[in-house]
Amino acid sequence: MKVMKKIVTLASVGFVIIISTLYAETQTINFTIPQLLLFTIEGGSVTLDISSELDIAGGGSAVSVSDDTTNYNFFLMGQPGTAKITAELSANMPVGTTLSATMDTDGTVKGSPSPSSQGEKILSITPLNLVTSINNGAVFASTLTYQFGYDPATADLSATSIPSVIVTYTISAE
Amino acid sequence: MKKKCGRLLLFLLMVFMVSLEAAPKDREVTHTITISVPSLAILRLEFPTVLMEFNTLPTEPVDEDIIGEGDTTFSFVSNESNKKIVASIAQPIQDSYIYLEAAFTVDGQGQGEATSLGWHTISTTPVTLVDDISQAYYKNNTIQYRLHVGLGATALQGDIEMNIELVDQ
Repeated sequence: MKVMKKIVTLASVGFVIIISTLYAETQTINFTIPQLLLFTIEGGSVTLDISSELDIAGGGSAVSVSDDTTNYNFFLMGQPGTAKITAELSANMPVGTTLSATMDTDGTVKGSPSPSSQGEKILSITPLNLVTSINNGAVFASTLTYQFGYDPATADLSATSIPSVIVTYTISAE
Repeated sequence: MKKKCGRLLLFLLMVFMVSLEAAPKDREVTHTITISVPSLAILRLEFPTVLMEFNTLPTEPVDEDIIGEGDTTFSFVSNESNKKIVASIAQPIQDSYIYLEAAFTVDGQGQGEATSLGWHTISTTPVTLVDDISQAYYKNNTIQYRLHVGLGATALQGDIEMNIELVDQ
């Protein structure tokens, strides 16, 4: 009987743990700018007193008085086109009187709104453009001027006062 | 008779020895396993896309940016020292009134050293958001994004491609 020799082979087995060494990633930040169209007027009611002007004019000539103590602000963001600001009265002014408004664009500008003032406009119940071509951006503390005109030649002289009027401003897409 | 018995005994002894030699034995088998773990530097982002949300919007004109916010999570592992995580955007944001900030906070589960560096503006130049990463593994850490939209922004929507890398410090 032959002696069976078992040969033990000393085996060295090398294992390499393969792990993906991914160390760079990409990520997409998706955004949609909110659409904002904001407008405010600073200051409360405006009183336009014509009496002193009538005294100066002697009571027979048309006179006017103005007030530029009001400021306005607007803010546009995410607008695909330009916007405008319109103004309208709650009721027409009495005969012989006018109320006009001017929205200057003399405030602090942020962005590139590039607004275009339409100058002085006599207000009525029909909306009128006071500022146009407004792009995204903002203007703060621009001057809003009111002017009240009174013509004794055509006005109702029996009226000792004129009812308050409400001016409604609207900012909207052009 | 005595001689025969001796031969028989010798024969039996030889058979026994041969049997012993031929019988299976327990043997020690040495099996050396060499394990090589390569340098690890793995970074994983939970989601490929993050949607920025503008939850707080002004109701009247304000002289400040509008901020969109978004968040997601990241995980990383490194068995080496002196690694850092850097981030950049692939392309400049076309609208100069818009910029992106990010903060990578190592607040997840794990171990090892890693230091968050807080909020940074992200541009096309990589900026470090986490540094001093040494033998560290952390998962489910927080990424926060802020998209600043300044007054005058004209872009209505868009995508910003972020590149985030785990690199040598």
